[in-house]
Amino acid sequence: MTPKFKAQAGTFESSDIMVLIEPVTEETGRQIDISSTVMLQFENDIKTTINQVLDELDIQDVHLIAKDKGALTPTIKARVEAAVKRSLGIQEGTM
Amino acid sequence: MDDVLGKILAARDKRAVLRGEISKSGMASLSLNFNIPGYPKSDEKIHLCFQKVLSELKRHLLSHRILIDSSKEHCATDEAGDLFLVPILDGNCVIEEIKQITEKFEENHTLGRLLDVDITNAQGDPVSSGKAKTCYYCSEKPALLCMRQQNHSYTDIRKKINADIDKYLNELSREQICNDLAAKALKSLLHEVALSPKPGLVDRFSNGSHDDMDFATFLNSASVLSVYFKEIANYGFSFKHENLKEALPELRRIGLLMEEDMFRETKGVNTHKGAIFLLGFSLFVSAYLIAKQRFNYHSFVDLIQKLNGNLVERELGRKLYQTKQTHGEVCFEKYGNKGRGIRGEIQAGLPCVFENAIPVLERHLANVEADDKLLQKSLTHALLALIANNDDSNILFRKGVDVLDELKAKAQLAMDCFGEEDFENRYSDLINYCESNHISPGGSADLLAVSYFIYSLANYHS
Repeated sequence: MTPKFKAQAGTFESSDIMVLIEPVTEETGRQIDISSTVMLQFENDIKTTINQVLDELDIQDVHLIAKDKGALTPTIKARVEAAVKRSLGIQEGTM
Repeated sequence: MDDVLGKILAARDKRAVLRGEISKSGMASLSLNFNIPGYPKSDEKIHLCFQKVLSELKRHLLSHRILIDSSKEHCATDEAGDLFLVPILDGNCVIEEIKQITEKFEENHTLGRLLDVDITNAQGDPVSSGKAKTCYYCSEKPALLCMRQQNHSYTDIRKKINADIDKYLNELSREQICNDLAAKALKSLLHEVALSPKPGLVDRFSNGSHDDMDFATFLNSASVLSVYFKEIANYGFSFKHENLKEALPELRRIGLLMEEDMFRETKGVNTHKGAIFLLGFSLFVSAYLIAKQRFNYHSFVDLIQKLNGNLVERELGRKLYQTKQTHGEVCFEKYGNKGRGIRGEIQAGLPCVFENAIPVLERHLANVEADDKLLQKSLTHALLALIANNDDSNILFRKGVDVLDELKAKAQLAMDCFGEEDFENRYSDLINYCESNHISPGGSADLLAVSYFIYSLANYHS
């Protein structure tokens, strides 16, 4: 599936993560940008988790921007999933 | 998705919306929340603690002249825990300075990393200091590292949080209770001396039977003593030793210090020696019992007695000072039990206070907001009850047993017609009798102060 809309999920609260999705043209692949306000040490961990969710939802072409505030893996999963579903138009949300 | 996580994330979303609304109106915002791992994020105790920290934070902001719009404050507890969120009123403060000031609050607070004060600027972006905070649990590694690697179990962290909150709340209540006890001790001294007219005693309008002290001497003396009241209360509140008598040397040390200060202030006149003794023990014992939530008259008397043991035999039976006998020693030698004085009163568990004075105070003051007039009336009544029953060793020493008995009888006569037409005459009689014979029932005045002090602790009864 390919995201159709700009969408976001998450907050800037501590222990949370803000996930933004931008649609890209097909066949461009995944572009994942991660910024953590405090530490980039877990960039790979976070990226792995994000890729897992994208795999599960079968998303190949997407630009995903994540701003981490110390979220744990279950939170990251939930936020990415919500953002993707919103970008697919299958879940309500704010943008 | 895990139901609990879903609820927490939904609650966070709501917070973000609230923050967004404030920034949409062009204002920066400030929030307070607790970093509580696991679930639930709040409970009764955490909530209480949150309220206390919030009061401190508001005081901190106001004292740094950071103005918040209290009319738009949001304070609620949800799945994400307790939250306080408020717009910052546009002052001359730079937002980064506000951030620094709130960080100082976090750093200096005993709960430290548990609290989180966040600033969001008017554009809706979080203001960060860029500092990596250390872990609340181990205080070694960066907080985010321990969090992501889950270095500490939720159970362990929650245990530490619980213990830290207990400590903090206990510290707060100690401070509040000891302040209150110290204020009440001073109040009791002031109301005692202000009570007018009094037989033979210094009051607002008369020096009674005294020519070496007046109203001002008492106010001065009470002022220097008041400095020590909180110290004694704190000592009692925090006293942990099983044997209460272990407290005696320290209590005596503070008492001696108070006496020295009193004599320095009054230029050698004994205004409050008895009061120091009585209030000192009473402050210690009441603070000790209130800390254990065991304060009531029965346990108070019990501990006063335990603390002092056989004070009469121990102290009056042997000479404490080698140079000369004290008045108390002379009286005990001459009059036996009737001359036991204040030590005897303490050893017997303050019967004058609990059987004579406090019941009178209760009768007048229970469930009413006492104004000066009512207070004067009830304290006069209580003072008579004390003079009529107290074997004041000071009067015994100076005037002998016949005068003491006559004084007690006169006080009883006045007491018997309290509230009746005849009372004014009888009370004037007593006052004239004391003044013309230079009698000063100072021991009863000390007992009045301590009775009022103990009575005023009624709200601590458990």
